[in-house]
Amino acid sequence: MLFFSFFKTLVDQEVVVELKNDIEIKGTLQSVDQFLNLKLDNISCDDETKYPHLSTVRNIFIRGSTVRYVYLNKNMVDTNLLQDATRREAMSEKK
Amino acid sequence: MATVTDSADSVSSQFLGHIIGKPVHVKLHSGMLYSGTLESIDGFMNVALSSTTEHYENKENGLLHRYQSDVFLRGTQVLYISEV
Amino acid sequence: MSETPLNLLKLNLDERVYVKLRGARSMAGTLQAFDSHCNIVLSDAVETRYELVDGELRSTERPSEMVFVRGDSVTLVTTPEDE
Repeated sequence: MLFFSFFKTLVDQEVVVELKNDIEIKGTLQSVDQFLNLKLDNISCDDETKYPHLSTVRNIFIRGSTVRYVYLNKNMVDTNLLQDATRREAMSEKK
Repeated sequence: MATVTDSADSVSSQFLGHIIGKPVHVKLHSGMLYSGTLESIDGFMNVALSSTTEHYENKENGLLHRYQSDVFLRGTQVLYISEV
Repeated sequence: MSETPLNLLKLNLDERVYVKLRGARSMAGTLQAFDSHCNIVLSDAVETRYELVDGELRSTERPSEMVFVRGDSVTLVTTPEDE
């Protein structure tokens, strides 16, 4: 739940998503779900060599499992809050 | 069925309890072999090792890295854990 | 009862960590967050990628001020020796 909550705070921010197939897409985070699937609005090319030809596409749904990285800016994140939330997160085995 | 599952659970947790603090080899699906002292392990096969060395496939191959700090290995990547 | 490996990772919060990833990649950065899937947020990070180019091993570095790393790529987490 931690990262689901984290991504919810990033809605309406512009992020760059790097997929496991090396494709990179910049867009505004429109929504996220518990699987960290993402919907990006108004997508554009950040790196020409890594961008698929989606010139007419404006919005996309990205399956969470295909994501490698999401690049953010420091000002999007409250690091103290994040660290505290991580400390509180139960890491215990569920069985 | 339930009995088989129960005894399988206790065998694996007995093993895990037995090897804590011992020198172990942990091989990942990629073929990377990590050798060190088992500091901690959980039911998902996440592992914490100290004094860890890294080789590819087996120790006879060249030493790739010696880690000075504790190493955390992700359970989903673990192929096996064996006592040295 | 010893700490689980993931709880031991909590000690590294706000510290520099070195993360090995699948695909001959690694990341060094300041650990801001993680969960039991090993999803991670790093600040002041640099990714190192190793590639074979014309039979030669090359490494490329890519810095980022803040990055989310999805846990299923992660293989190893430790603290860096030198930086």
